[in-house]
Amino acid sequence: MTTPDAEQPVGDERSVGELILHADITSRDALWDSGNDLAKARVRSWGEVVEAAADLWSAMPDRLGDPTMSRIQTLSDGLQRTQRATQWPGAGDGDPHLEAVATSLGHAAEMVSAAGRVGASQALSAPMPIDVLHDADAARTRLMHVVYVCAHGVGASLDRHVQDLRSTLDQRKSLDRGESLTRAQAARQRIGAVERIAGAYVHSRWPQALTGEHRDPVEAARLERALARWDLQAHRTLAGPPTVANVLRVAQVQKDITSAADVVGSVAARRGMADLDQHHHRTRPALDGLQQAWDQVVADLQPMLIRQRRIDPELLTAANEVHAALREITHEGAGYAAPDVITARIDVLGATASLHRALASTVDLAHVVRDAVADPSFTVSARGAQALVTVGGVPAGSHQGVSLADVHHNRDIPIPQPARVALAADIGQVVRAAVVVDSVGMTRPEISAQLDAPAAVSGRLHQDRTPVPSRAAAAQGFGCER
Amino acid sequence: MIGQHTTQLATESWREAIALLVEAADRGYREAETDPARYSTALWADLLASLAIDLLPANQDHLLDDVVLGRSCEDVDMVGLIRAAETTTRRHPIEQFPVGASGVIVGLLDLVRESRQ
Repeated sequence: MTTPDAEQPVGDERSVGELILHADITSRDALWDSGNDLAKARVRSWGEVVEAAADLWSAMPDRLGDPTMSRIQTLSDGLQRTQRATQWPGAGDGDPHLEAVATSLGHAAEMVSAAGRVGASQALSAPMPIDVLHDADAARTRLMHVVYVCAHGVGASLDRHVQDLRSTLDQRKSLDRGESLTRAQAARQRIGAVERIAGAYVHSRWPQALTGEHRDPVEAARLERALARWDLQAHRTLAGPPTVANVLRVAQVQKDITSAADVVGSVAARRGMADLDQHHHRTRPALDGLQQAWDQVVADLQPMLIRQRRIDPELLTAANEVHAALREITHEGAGYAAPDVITARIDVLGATASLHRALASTVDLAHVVRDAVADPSFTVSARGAQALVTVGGVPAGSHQGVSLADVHHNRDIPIPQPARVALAADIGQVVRAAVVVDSVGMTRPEISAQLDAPAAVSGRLHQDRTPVPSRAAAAQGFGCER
Repeated sequence: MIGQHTTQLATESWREAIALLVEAADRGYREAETDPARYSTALWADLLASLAIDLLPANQDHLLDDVVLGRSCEDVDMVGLIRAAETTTRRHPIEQFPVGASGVIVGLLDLVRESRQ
């Protein structure tokens, strides 16, 4: 835990800009902190932060009369009135980080106000060598960023607090005196509104999915929606001009989905919701096989990334959402959540069914990936292509469809035929592994019962596909099909 | 997307933070071979790197290849690299980074917090 510098020493000669910067760093330190029971202290101190920020905002020159801070202050005042009326979170210590932020901002507001009284040029000159007041827009951006980070920090601690209260209620049916799930949830929603307003001001383009990765409770339909959106977007993106970056991201996220199916399926089996024996002997090995197959495709593609490594923004948004939806179920901090925690978070059988529906479409998606890398415009790095071909058994130095000059300069080149063949064979392994996973999932009565509404298939049904040849067989015709 | 206050030095730090995130993801993928739970965190770092790249002008992608990470990064694990990426973004005031940096930084702070637990 970091200790903030809460007090402004007498004779502090920092500039207004430096004080806001100090507030920024302190607010970030608060977000690093993951200790328990921070929420109530942060809610107590939140009002001070907003008050100091609003004072500074109103003291700065304002050409446009932007109402953002007024809106935030109004929301914060309302929250404080509710806190007084309901006695929640009640009396107690504040949060040292947030108090330090409020102190810095308050001191900055005093300096700006004083400067306004005695004449800006006279008062700002000596103690403010790099003062941001020369550009009030920059100062406002810096200040609103602090409010945004603080709001996010308060919200994150409230998320955790709400989770803890919910888990206490599940175990004991009652909370300690002074605790309230309803009020904590209401405070979370109101702080969340401030976070969104401040975030909009600083042009945040961050998907809501990741700023709220601890939604509480886990919304049952979120996973299904995120998976469906991901499947649709992956197909759409791959239907466009194919890039290594997009194909690689698809493979990585598919592995994430497969891994989550393994985690959630294991919980279902351990809790007796599914056949443990079948899980150990059929489902788990099948999921392992699929993860390994995607891993190989990722290993093939990673070295072939070209200089243009941007991801289709829509694909990136869908990837963020599905990753966050999976993580809020499967993870606690850096590790997997305990089985009873996962069970408390979500309907495990429902989640398993959603994941198996997603995996059922993996077969089709793998075919689309194979089509993408077969596209003549699929461009890769020369060195990555050469490495893949060499690993695939073609001796280095022999003709690999890559010129020495291309390799030397690591040029971006159309994927050479030997590399295409090697990659296609590994994608073929994904198809075969996905077929196995699909068949295992469908034979489980508990899961089959949940699979009442088949998801829309974006391409040909996998049973309509031609079986995928092995790497050796693929070498004969693949790449010449288009 | 570059704003009116964005500076060259801050943009270079932004690229360094991206390189650290990419390296963190790579290291995390390797660590996941023995600890599969790490895969999700590595992917998160990777996704953040993609979001951060998206804030830069598209015609400058090649400059990412020129970023050289210090030797101090060689023996650091995924979590250490993620922390280093966040620390790198502290070198400059927020308005000097590309527009939208606030959101990425908040995401990075979440990643730091989650990966340390």
